[in-house]
This record gives sequence, C-alpha cells and structure tokens, in this order.
Amino acid sequence: MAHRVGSRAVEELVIASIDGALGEADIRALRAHLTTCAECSALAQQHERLTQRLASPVASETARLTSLQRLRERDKRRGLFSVHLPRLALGVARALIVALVAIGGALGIGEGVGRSQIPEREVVAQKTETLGGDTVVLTVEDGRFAAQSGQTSGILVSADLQLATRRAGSTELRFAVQGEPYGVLGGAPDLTGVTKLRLENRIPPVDSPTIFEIWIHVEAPDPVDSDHVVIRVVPAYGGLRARGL
Amino acid sequence: MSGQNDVLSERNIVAFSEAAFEALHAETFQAVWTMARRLCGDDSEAQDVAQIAYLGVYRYWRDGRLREPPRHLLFRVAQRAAIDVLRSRSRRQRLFQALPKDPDAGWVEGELREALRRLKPKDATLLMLQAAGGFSYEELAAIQGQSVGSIRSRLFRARTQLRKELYGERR
Repeated sequence: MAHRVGSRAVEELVIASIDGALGEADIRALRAHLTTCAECSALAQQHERLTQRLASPVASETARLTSLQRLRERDKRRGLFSVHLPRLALGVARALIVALVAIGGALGIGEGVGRSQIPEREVVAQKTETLGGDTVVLTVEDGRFAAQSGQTSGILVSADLQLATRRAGSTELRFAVQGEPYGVLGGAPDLTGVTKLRLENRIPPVDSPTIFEIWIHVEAPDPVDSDHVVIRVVPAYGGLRARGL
Repeated sequence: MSGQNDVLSERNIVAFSEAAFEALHAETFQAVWTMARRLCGDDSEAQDVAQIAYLGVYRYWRDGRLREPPRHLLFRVAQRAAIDVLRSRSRRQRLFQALPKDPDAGWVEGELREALRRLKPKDATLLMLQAAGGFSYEELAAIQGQSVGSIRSRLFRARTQLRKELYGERR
C-alpha cells in the first residue's frame, strides 16, 4: 500500500516537490517523512534521477545545422527565409506555369515541363508473382500522398499477399540498399488464419541517389523470396522521387 | 531556458521577421531535439518532427495567424508530430533492425527510450515536453489547452509508470 503524508500519497508529493509545485508546509512534512522512511527515500531518489535523465540534453549541434539547412533549402522553392512576392504576383506566376504546361503538352514537349510537378500518386513499379500457390503483388508508388506533413513527396512500398491455403507462417516486406544488409519495412509474425494481407511502409529518406531492392519474404512454412523490385530513389524538390529500373 | 521571465516576455508576441524566427530556432532547438530524439527511433524521424514543428510555426507567424507565444505553438506541433511517429511505429511494426545503429545511443539512453515507448504516446510526449522544454504546469496547460489539474494528473501517471518501468515496483 502506498505510504501517505496526511491525505496525500508520498509519490504524489515527491513528484510535486520536484516540479516545484509543493507548498512550504507540505515540503517540511515530506522531508520529515523521508528522513524516517528508507523506502520512500529510495523512491524519491529514483524520481530525482529519472527527472535528471529525462531533462539531460541530447547533443544537438549537428542536428541544428541540418535543420537550418533543410529549412533554408525550402527557401529556394517556397520563399522561406526570403523576400515574399505579393500574392497577386504569385497568382500570375502560377497561371503562367499552368499555361506553359498546357502549351507544352499540346506541342508534345510536355514531359520535361511536367516533371517539375510532383504527382499526387504515381505507380513507379509493380510486379505480380506466384509463389507456390500464393500470389504476391509488390507495388512502389511515388507522390505527395505518401509524404508526411512538411515533406513534398514520399515513396510508398506495399505488398498484397494472397495465400492459397490457410496455414501458419510469417512474412516480411524487406528492402536493401545495394551491397548492404536488408531492413524490414513491415511484417506479420503470424499468418495463422490469414488468407489476405497488406503490408506497407515508406522508404527511408536518402541524401543522395540510392538504388533499393524490395521484396517479400514468406515462411509458410518453407522460406521463399519473391523477385526483387529495383528502384532508384533521388532526393528532389524537398522530398523523394523514384523510378523503376 | 523557460523561466518566468520567458513567459512574461512572450505575452507580447514579437512581430515576425526572418531574424526573429532564426533566433527562436537557435533558442529552442536543443529542447525540441532532446524531446524528439529521445522519443523517436532515429535521427531521421527526429529531424522530421523538428522540421514539421518549425515549418508550422514559421507559416503561422509569417502569415500573422499566431495567437500565442511561438514557443508554445512550436512545442505543441512538435508533440503532435512525435505522437504521430510513435503511433505509426507501433502500428506498422517498422523494424529497421538491419540498418546501422545510432552510435550515440548508449545502453542507458536506450533503456530510457524503450521505457518511454512503453507509455501511451500522449503521456510520453507530455513528459518529454515538460522535461526538455522546462515548462511549468501552467505553461503546459496553456500549450495543451487543458486544465492545470488535468496536466498534473497526466504527468503524475506518466512519471509513476515510467519509474516502475525503469526501477520496478515498490517493495
């Protein structure tokens, strides 16, 4: 049972004391109790150590510079840290871009212009395969839909698995940068009772062009890997763009 | 960093300028990073949390929509972003075991991080908001839009649970 000082639990008083939210009378009563109760004294020390550990700063200088750089990079595209054009001028500029894209498309030269527009959703690579009797559809999609807030685009990898028979097993959606150990984007440790399954996750961010291999690994019960889908991911426009290889 | 003087000086919101924003960034980044990095699995996730928070403040401040001290909005957005990361992590079983581990993450730090992740995301982020940001109950209540009593009880619950996670039950 929790020890008490007056009507309040000692742990509550200890926490309030650390937070500077305890009156003088309560502080005196708590101190008096702690000097006579070893258990509560140990508890108070644990809370003090915990508070110090939580508040101890994590080294941040490199991260701060990276953060500033990322914010300034947005400047080049979106006006952060720069003089802002009046809204009217922005509207005119947008209208001109739309007109140029339309004219370019009509003249058959739209591809180059269009590439500057990150699509809402675009299938970059897709592969359907039969593993034993099971069917696997591996899809890589690129676009704003897959991005977190604050990013321009993301790359979403998904795997739809249809098992021919119900059986025990496990599966993982794996990826690897060429020449490095694989990582896991998602998985199901127990396939018991499952016939359909979808795994999905975003590709981790990259700082330079990177080639990823992506595949499904199934152990139900024998291990088998699907064919690898290979994509090239490049940082672009503040997010990522991907192309199938 | 966040004493009573800061609260008083922030009651009048400073007019937006790039210099004011950069000053906010310089002043607060250590706390935002400590909170984000201790909650997130890696530098990349923590950078995303920081980016979301600073961009959110930047836009509100620049567009004249700020109705509170920028530091309050900053930490609230950072907290929400961190909650998203924690929820997303548990939901999608995001396991990057094969990727290189953070060399700075020692055993003790790893133990604390793991214990934090066993709390509810809202409680873990509130705890780090208080610890890293140095906010009082009153400031936290203002940031969260909740009563001081509610903040106090949430923090009490989180602190007692975290202590149990790290040091075990009382005898």
